[in-house]
Amino acid sequence: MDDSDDLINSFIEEAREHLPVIEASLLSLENKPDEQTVLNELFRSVHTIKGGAGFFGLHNISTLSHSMESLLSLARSNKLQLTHQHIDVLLSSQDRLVQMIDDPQNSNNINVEQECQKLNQLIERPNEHFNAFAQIAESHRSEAEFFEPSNEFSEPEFIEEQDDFPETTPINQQENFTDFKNQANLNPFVFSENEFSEEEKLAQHDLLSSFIEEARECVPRIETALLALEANPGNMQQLNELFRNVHTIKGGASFLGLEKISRLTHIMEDILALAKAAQVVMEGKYIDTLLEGYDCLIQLIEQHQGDNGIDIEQLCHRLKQLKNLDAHESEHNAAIEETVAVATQSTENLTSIPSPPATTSLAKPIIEEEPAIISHSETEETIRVHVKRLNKLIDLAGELVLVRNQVFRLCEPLIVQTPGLKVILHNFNRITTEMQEEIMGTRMQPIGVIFNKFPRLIRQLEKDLGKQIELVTEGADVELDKTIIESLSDPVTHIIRNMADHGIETPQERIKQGKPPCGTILQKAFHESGQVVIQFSDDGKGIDPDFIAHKALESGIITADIMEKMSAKEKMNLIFTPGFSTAKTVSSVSGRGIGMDVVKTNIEQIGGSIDINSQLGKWSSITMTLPLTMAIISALIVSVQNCRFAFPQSNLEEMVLLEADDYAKQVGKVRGQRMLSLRGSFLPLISLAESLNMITATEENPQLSIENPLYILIIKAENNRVAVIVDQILGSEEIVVKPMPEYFRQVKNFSGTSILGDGAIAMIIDVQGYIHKNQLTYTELQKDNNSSSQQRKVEQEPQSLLIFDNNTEEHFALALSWIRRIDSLDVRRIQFIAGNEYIEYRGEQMRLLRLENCLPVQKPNNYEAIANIIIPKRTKIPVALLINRVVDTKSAVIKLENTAMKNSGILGSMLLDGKITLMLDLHSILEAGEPDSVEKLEINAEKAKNKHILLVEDTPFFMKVIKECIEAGGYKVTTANNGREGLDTLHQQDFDLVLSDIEMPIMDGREMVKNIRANPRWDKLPVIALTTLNDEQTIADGKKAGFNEWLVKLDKELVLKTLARYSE
Amino acid sequence: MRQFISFYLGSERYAIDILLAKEIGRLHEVSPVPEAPEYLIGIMNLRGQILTVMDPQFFLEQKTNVPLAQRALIILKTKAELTRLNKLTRKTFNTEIAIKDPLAILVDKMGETLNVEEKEILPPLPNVANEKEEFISGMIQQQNQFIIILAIEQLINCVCNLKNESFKLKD
Repeated sequence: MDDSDDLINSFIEEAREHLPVIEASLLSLENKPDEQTVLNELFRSVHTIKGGAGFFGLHNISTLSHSMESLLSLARSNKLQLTHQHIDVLLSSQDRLVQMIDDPQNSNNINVEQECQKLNQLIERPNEHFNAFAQIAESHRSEAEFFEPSNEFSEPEFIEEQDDFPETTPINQQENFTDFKNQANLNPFVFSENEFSEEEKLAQHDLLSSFIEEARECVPRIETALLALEANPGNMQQLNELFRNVHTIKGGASFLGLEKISRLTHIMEDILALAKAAQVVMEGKYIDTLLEGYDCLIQLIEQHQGDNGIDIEQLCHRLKQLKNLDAHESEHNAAIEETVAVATQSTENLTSIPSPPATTSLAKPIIEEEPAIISHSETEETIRVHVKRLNKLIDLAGELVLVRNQVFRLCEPLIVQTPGLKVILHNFNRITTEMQEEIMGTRMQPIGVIFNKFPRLIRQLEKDLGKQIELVTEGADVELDKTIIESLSDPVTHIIRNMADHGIETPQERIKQGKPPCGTILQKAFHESGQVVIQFSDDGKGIDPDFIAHKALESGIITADIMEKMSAKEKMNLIFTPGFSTAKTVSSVSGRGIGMDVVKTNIEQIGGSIDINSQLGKWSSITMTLPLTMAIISALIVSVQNCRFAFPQSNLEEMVLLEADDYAKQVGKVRGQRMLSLRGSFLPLISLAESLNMITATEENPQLSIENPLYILIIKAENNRVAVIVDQILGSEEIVVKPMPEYFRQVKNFSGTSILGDGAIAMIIDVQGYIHKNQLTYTELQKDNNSSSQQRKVEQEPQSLLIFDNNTEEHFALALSWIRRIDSLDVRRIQFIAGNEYIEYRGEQMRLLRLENCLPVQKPNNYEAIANIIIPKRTKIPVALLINRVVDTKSAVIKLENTAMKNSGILGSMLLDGKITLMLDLHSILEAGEPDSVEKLEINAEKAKNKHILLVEDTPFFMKVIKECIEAGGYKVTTANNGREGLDTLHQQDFDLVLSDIEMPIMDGREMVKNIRANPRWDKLPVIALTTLNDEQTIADGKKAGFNEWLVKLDKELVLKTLARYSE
Repeated sequence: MRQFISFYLGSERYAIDILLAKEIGRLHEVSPVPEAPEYLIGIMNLRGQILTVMDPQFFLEQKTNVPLAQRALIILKTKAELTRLNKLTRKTFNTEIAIKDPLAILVDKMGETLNVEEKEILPPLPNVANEKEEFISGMIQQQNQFIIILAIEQLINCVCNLKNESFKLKD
């Protein structure tokens, strides 16, 4: 690989590490502008980026970071107080830096003028309070003045700084200047000019004590690092740490005039510089002498006041000897080492003879080489590896586990007769496991990668929303698979936005509620039972389940009767329904609910789950449970027809063993679908083998005329729970997921494959896909509420109903397809003729029927002055039904209960909008009330007798009604529940005519008729559609598909007439 | 000079360029994939890799009487393996084959390896073989017998992109 590429990459990598630090520091400075340590850290990060960028000719990065740095240096020298304004500009500059560092090649094309200008403005106009220093700030480019404060500047600080480059010499000097101040926390100008005010003297005292404090922190680290180096002389990290700490002490001490400390640390630093340049190896004598220096340093720091009588001369001398020895030795070394040697030599001179800073310009060009060397050695701590290679390693580790398992099985019988084998196997096992864990670990990243993005987001949201929010982070070091981390970013951002926008109240509101004005959002990650839990909670106003439910009702996601029966939790979970939104609260920041379904989908895609909780007015929380990694999942292995299948544990709810004796009790059939009764709820029961077409499904599967107990898994995805029969349960296993080979793209049931411990292959069931594919989308909600919903519509046609009442407690419904028109009627217009009621309607006498006279229903006490009449279609004489009022028209799937009470015109009852509604049979009512009005069908029993009709219908209600109707017509009827059954029946028997519904599960009417028409045997077979779908397009399409006639359901006459016509 | 490996399938003898083959194997412990098209026999564990086994007889309109367990497998090189081969030999072996996941074709029996001069390869003669022409890229004459050079890339195209109903498993 190209060397310079390598270097630039390591710079970019380093810069990427610094950018979050910059952001974090800026945010924390905003709250505590006086935090010197944070400021210093920030400064160093900006500085590092600037240095590297300059070195690699990334001018724009370097210019921008230079401006940022200049501003920060003013702040560090207390000439400027960082205000929100400054932070804003710095943050936007940081954004620009991020942009440029993401694409270094093009960074020179990105315009940074604006940011630079803003920064420079701020630099030129520091805060009012610091005006006095503005001039000095302006002039701080003057080198002489710059270096006046101390000669200590001639020390080889560059080695640490790693950023000097020729083009920007003045800037570098400024760097040194500020860095110097950094060490001393002191304003050099003030100091050097001896113009202390009282206040400044006090400040200096403060600085001294803060230096001592800092030094006390540094000293133990020196010891630790020295000891670590003794154990491992090559440890660059420790060496750098050591160097930094010594350097820090030196800088501060020299500035505060603590001469002994400064001299001692200076010499120590020189030696360390040699070690860093790999000229000396940190061995015995070095460590020993340096430790002596360390001991001495402690004393000096503890007794820094006045002349403490501690003699450092001897020690200094010995240290110098060590240093000179090596400096001379190394003079003939390789080029790079030479430069360092020269550098140290020159610095040595500079130390002994205080010289003007101009000499540094001599040393500079030599030192330019430094950054490369040092950054190189530092990045050796991490190696960048291509993800491809990691993935390969993971694969191999997975295979190794398999091989181990195979070896184990083979060796097990040999253990007894082979001494030592057991130990070897044990070791083999341990190492394999450990290795696999380590390799898997390489893909792990801390969740902090995501969490750390949010302080900035929250800050922005605070501003946009006018709220006060504190973000608390816990468990940022919890690690997750890289892929999972990546796919979490968006959903989690969404959640945080929602919480800030809708969860947290405005400060005023919070005070009213007796809460602190500043709201809190907690982001928290922790391990729980082998999974990672990520939790977000706020102490805001919480989520009102009823509000959510009403919104869902408005947008038609649920119906009123469903809503009534929902628990608060279920209502809250409506947030995750696609299309859900509380339109009232849409803002630029977020509309609660918009995209929450996407959040849920994303989380589920990576094998996780999401849950919402809240207490109204107090708090709300969103909890995500995620697998540690996607590459290995915990699964239940089952077998069917000698094939293995794996069900991901996350989709598994429980396992049920159904004893043969209980079968009849617990399994029933609903609309042709077997259902398992499990603790009060009904789950679709399917056999895995049948649903995968591994065995042919028969009406009564031999497997189900059982003698043996059934193994049943209860699997779940989204809101669907399904009971699956398997042959055998083999056990739980951690499996390595391999993608399904590309050749099986059209096979939808599996999400992948895996090689099991014994070498056999298992296919991993994609539970969600499997449930969808088998059309088992019955949600708990739907079942429990015994009512319709969108998903059911796929299988059953909704029927348009007119809902009305009669001024009594009863509600009635009539199929709209029976009704010609509805009109209002002034009851005074009713006339009595021969005991019957008539009205004049459009120039005709119209017979008026009252429900209570035709049906066993309550009699109303009175009618309103203006009542309504329902005029049915196709009556021989004009007839109308008098009713009190029309409540609604509604499209609903008819699912009747109490069909047993069916007599004289009542088909049954059903729940509509939470009310029991009687479904009426208009035909029977008319027949009872005015037999003359109904067309008497001339049933030619002779003709009908030998006709065999196949009725294909999925709704039991319609099945019953239609079957009775055509049987009454004298036909022989055979029924089938769907198109597939219909076709099968057709194969087995001969029919004269087929009557079929359109929308049916498994195979719909269109598909069936296509199949019928494709077979020459049924070329002439009349097929009649019987449906409620009656728009022209559908009818045209239906006729094209091969239907002879298109009839509307529940019109008995028409059906019988048509049948009669075809019987000719 | 090119090298071909030949094999028998049904009533015909076929050959493919030896460079396309990775290894010859046998069918063992193959797991059928439910609801997969019938020409996909299943998947098997090839030293930790998932190998898909395909039976070309459905495409070549051949009928075989050889029991599954006795048939041989020709494991094809994947795209990555072909690229590596090209790099290694510094030659460009031109093929449209671009399979990502390991694939093997199931044949009745392996034949001998053939050394054939480029000029000896004949264009497909429709009257010689009654197979679908699209799967024939050429012919080799050996004594009195014609060996069909299988256009394996066509076969793979069929496997990868096939949505054709007629090849789907009948219910």
